[in-house]
Amino acid sequence: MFVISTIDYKLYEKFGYIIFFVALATMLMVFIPGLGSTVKGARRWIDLGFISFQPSELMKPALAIGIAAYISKKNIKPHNILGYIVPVCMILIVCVVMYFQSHMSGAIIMIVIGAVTIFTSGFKLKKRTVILICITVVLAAALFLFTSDYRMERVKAFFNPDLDITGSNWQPTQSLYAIGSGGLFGTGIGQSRQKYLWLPESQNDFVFSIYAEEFGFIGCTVVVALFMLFISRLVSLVLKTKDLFGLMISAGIISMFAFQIIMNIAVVTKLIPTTGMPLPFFSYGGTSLLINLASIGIVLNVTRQRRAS
Amino acid sequence: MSLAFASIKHKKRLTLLLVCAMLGFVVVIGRLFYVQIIKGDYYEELAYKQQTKDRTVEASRGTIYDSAGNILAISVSSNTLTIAPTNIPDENKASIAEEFAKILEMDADSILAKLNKKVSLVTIASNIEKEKAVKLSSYISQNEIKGAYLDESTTRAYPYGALLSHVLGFTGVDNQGLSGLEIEYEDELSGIPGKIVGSIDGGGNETPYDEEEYVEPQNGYDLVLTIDATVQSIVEKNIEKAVIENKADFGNCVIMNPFTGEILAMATYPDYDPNSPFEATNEEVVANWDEMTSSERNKYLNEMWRNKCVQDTYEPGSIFKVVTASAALEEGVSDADTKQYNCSSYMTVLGWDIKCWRYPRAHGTQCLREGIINSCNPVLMQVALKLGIRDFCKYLEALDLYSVTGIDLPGEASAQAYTPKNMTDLDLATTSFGQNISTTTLQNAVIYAAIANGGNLMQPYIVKEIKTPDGNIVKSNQPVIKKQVFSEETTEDMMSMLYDTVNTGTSKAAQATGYTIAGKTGTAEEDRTGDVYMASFAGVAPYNDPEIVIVVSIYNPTSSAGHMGGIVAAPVAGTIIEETLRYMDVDPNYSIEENTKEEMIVPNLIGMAYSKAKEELQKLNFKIASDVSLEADTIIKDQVPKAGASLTKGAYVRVYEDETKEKLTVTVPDVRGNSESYATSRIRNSGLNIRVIGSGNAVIQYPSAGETVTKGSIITVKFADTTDLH
Repeated sequence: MFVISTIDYKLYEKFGYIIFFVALATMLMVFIPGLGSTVKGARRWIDLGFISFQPSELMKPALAIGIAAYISKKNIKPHNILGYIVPVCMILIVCVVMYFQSHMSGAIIMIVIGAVTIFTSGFKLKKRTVILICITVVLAAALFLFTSDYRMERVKAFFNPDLDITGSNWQPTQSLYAIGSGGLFGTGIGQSRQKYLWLPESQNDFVFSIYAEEFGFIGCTVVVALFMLFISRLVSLVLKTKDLFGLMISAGIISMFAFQIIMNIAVVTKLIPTTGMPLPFFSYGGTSLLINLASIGIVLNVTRQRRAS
Repeated sequence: MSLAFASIKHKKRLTLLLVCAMLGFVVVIGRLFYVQIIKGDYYEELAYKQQTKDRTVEASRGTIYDSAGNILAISVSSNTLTIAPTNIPDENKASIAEEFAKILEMDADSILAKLNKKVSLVTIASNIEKEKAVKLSSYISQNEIKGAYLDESTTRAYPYGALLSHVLGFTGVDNQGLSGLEIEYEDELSGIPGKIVGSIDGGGNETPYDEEEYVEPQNGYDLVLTIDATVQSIVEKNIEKAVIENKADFGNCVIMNPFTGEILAMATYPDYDPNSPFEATNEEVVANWDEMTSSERNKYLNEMWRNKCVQDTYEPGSIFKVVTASAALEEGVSDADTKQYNCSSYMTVLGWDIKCWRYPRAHGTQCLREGIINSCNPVLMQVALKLGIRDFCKYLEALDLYSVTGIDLPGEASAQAYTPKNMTDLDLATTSFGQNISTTTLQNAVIYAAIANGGNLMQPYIVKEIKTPDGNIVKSNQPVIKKQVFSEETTEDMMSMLYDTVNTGTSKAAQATGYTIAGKTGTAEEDRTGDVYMASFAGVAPYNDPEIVIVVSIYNPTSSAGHMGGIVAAPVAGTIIEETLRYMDVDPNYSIEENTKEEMIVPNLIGMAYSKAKEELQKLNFKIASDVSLEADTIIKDQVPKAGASLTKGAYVRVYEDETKEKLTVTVPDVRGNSESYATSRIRNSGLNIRVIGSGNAVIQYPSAGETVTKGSIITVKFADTTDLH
């Protein structure tokens, strides 16, 4: 984070395409036999022997950088709808790769990051464009849902909480047990019972459930408030920049954090169907943590440049 | 470098996004509030339920004692040591095996071999005694040996085997009562299981939380029965003898205290072993077991488990005549001694000729007493007709003969009898002598108890006390007089008639050495083809000061000795009474007519030379006998019978030169029905000695016919006047 924060973000504008294509290339590498590894049916990791690397994590900031660089370099004007075809294509390419990685949640994040980046660029919203986007999103979602059994299962389970308690509903139900057990004050540090094999992935996407069980509603509120402070602080710093490119990549990166945080908590509290959304800084995963820190580094540099200039 | 400039518009958009994000955060906080605060208790409870696992701690089932404190049924706990070899590090195996071997007193090498097995679980030892189990468990916990399990389980044991099996019943695999007292008193015996609430993970294993909750089991209550195991064994031994000797289907017997209603013995033969209740006891069934269908097996087993004293009813036959006679006395329609009845060997009622048992020989003019003594059907029919249907049925009602006794045993059968509504004079006539009515053996005992105790209908019961395992009495059953059915005058008359019946009448064969008995035999037709009979005896002893009421029923006797109650049931009842009262320390106050034959005491011959012994015996009018021919100077090492036995003249004493050598044996001949002289010669010709009790024809013998005994053994034969026994 500190190293990255010293790198001038303007370099990203220069090497924006390269960054994007390098990220895209690593994402494609998972499909190379012997290099890519499959975990729980999803082909998302590159096995480097000593560590496995998740290229999609790298793609998150890379996408924001790529789109921002394109818009910035080509000086696309907000009313120039055709000028946005390339950024949209970038998003679509990433989503297609994600689809083959069986990574729906990742694709959603990409769409959000891309959309936010484009949105901040000042892209002029016309009614028919909005309708077109909505239709595309619905179609894409339907495609994802109906082409995968386990996604259908999860959605079905979400709408029928009493069915399949030991199957698709097990994880969200166990998550609720954990969070509910926390009550107001929680069971205390290390006192979670649900982490004893009851709640699957309790170190991963569902780590917040265990946190909620041990720290209670008060602890949860503190964390969420810290996240809110974190997001709003970043935004308020970024708002002071005068550079659109800096603003766009920061917006993309911040939206990545905000979206993942909100979605993760929504999933573990069974507000929405289960999807593999990590909780930044909480969930297990080296790549994710590394990229998250690096991303903040980028944003910090954007704010630092403001001061410098 | 960058051409674009971040305008207000761009910043507004970012701010809008921030607002959206903040709204999202607020929504998730709201959701957390809902899940943790509003629904928190609900989820916590569900979570607790799945996170904890109740391990049941079995309550120990109560013990069943007889009235003398003997244990009839007990739960024995035993421990099993099981090892998961893979959980034990190889380097520890030798020392663990050694320690186990020391505690279990087993061979260390064989235990080590088991520990080295490549299996998931191996049983080291089962049925481990408590003391060793305690040592094992402390060794395992102190050394934190993972993969060693000591499990306790309880099994029900019946130390007396088949004794009282039909009353006790038995338990199933989970120690739940399935039959008899075990099921009747299930709630009292079973206790309340305790539990250990432990914390487990999603895989069902224990978690590091040791906040276990322990709810102590409440052990079952003990039962103390009114049954006396000794009396019970006297009864069972004799009923078994009677059933086998008379080639009967089965036999049963109840002994009851007439003043309290306590059941002292209740037996059915054939019996079974409640330790292994699912094993057939009938040899024929055992042989065919594999070919039997499961429904055939179940049918057989259910029949084998039936307590026929209370679960089945039979037509009582002549033993029921006491009800007719007592009712008539009570209602004043007849006295005991006025000769007002006539027997012409049959009687016509509503156009039907009903025979007396002695048909075609008529009894002639008789009083009621003679009617009972002779067991004359026409007398009782006339008495009943005089009494009338309404008054007769009043006594059936009063004696609970339209229902059950209410004893604390499962599956009691209700007596079946005509009611005033559906009874005709013909039914009244047959019911008067115990046909066309059916009762249980227990009900018959209750009726005779009322005659013996001055007319009170007692509530029979089999559980005297219910106690906690510490011995505190939870419930103590006291004698209950349900009602007075007859007056004392009536029962006094009735008792004297029953006394005469045993003394001089049709039940003479019941006479016992040392005790006076009042009683009545019965020979009931159990089907209308005249093929199946039930021989029975119901009586009270001693006559003057009743201690016990006894009812013996032998169903379908088919031996050459016949099917008459006076022959089949009375002698065995007499023996049971004699042995029981002697055990109960009741002073003998009577003896069967003394034997006129002079008996001499057998001298001690051991150590004498053969010639000297022969001389000694000849002086006493005894004869000497031997398995092999002996020299005159052979020293005698053994003799049968032993010195001190009483024998009549002409008896043989067998001598042996080598007491360790196996002696010759012989099968006991069946002398029942034989005259005294014929029986004596048959027994002596078999190389046995006879001891004669009473006079007349042989009615019962000990040991039973068919048994194998050493030559020279004494066969005790009871004789009685068997003319006109019924």
